Amino acid sequence: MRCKKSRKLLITYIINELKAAKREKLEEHLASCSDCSSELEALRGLWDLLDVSENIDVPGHLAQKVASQAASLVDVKVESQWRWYALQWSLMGAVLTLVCCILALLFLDPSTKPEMSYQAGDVKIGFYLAEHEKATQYVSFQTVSSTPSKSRWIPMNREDMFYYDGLEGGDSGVFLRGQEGRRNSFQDKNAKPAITEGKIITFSEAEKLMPFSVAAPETLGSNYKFEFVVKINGKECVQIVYSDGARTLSLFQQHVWAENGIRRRDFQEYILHKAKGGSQNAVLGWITKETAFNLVGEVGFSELMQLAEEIQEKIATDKLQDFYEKLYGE
Amino acid sequence: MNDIHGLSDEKLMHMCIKGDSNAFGVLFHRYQGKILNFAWRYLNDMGSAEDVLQKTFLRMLLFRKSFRKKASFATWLYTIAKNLCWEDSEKLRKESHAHNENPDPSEYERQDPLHEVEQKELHETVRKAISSLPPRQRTAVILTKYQGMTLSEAAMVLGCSEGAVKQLIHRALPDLRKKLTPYIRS
Repeated sequence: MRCKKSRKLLITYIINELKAAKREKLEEHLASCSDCSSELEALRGLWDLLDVSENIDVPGHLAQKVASQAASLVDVKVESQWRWYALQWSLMGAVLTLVCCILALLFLDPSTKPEMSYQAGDVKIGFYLAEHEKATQYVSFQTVSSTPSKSRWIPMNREDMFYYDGLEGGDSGVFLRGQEGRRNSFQDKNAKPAITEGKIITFSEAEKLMPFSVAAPETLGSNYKFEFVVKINGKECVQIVYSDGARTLSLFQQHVWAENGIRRRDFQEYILHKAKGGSQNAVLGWITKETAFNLVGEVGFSELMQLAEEIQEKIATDKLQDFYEKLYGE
Repeated sequence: MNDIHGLSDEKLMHMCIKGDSNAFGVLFHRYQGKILNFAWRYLNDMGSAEDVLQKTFLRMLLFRKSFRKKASFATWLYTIAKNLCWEDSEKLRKESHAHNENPDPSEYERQDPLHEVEQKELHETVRKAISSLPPRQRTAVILTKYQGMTLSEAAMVLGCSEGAVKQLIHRALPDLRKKLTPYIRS
């Protein structure tokens, strides 16, 4: 073996990845060549010197932060089949109930029409602003009754979808999508909701990709802090993720006229999907002049409503400016 | 469930794809330190390394379906971390150019080793020397030296042949030697 070839093999020899035959030949050469032998020692000294750089430990707070963010992304395994059977039975029950209600509506006097009933554990959302009170005039309970509620309080099940939306004619209003929506969702039980697939991008990338001003307040409520932005695969939609260390809150944003945005059905599928794993997410949707927002989190509707108002208030002011400068600066 | 800690990375990853959060927990516990150290050595900046650690595991979850059955989990995860480090490093490079704070490459030559006898400073010098290597050379050195990877594993992470990894390390050595020779002698 010549010195030129020997030099090329030295590092592979040091990291112990030289094949037996070549190793033997190299060792023969090293035994007879003092130049290559001292080159080997110099290289070994250099390679060993790199060992002074010791490993560091992961700070506890960081491990906790990643774990909590990850928890929102890992779908909890459905423990056994019986949950699926339970869902099927409850669906059949819901269909039977609906049929009974329709029959009752057909045969009973309209003045004696039964009130919509909710199970224990249902939640109510309060309309505490004047504009919300006005909005209740347009409420439509699509599941059971089409009669608008005049009540200041709307009873809601956690699996209902709640939209504070623009109705026909351009007025603001409320749209409810209840459990009936299940019938149309998840026809393929193995399909994952479109919402669950995405890619983390930077805030400035989100601004470039979306045809509207992406709103991302630094904090929400008293505990939620901005974490990261996700571009939903194949959809003109971004998800801003917030976390309070244990729970996450997602603010989905897309243009009001997005041709390929996330639909209500996607959210319906998403909450049903999450419900299979035991988490109860609620969705609150609303629109502004250019943006459609959907706030999704494992919190009550009233809290979602407060957070939505906070977001609207922050968007309307320039409070976000400093935070955006920080994001762009990163 | 009790034996989950004894399962292979790949088995755990497949459980994670199916939605098992415990499997993710075990994988995270196994690799958090390795990924943080990889990123720290690559970027020579703790804050950026912590960001890379976070993003690596979030990307791992977001793209878990793209993990192929026969692939090695470790090389797949390191590939994600490597890509993030490359992105971050490019960003840091641009920023340092913008602020004209890029370190002078001859800085190492000017340093007098007699004044740098403290072990801490030696650590810093080694880290600086590694982080000043070009991205691919840097990755090859870190993977083989610190992450205990074989040449073929490093090749998978870098997306090249084993021979190319050898070449990368071979090319990195003169640079490292130039910067670190005084310390080898001492």
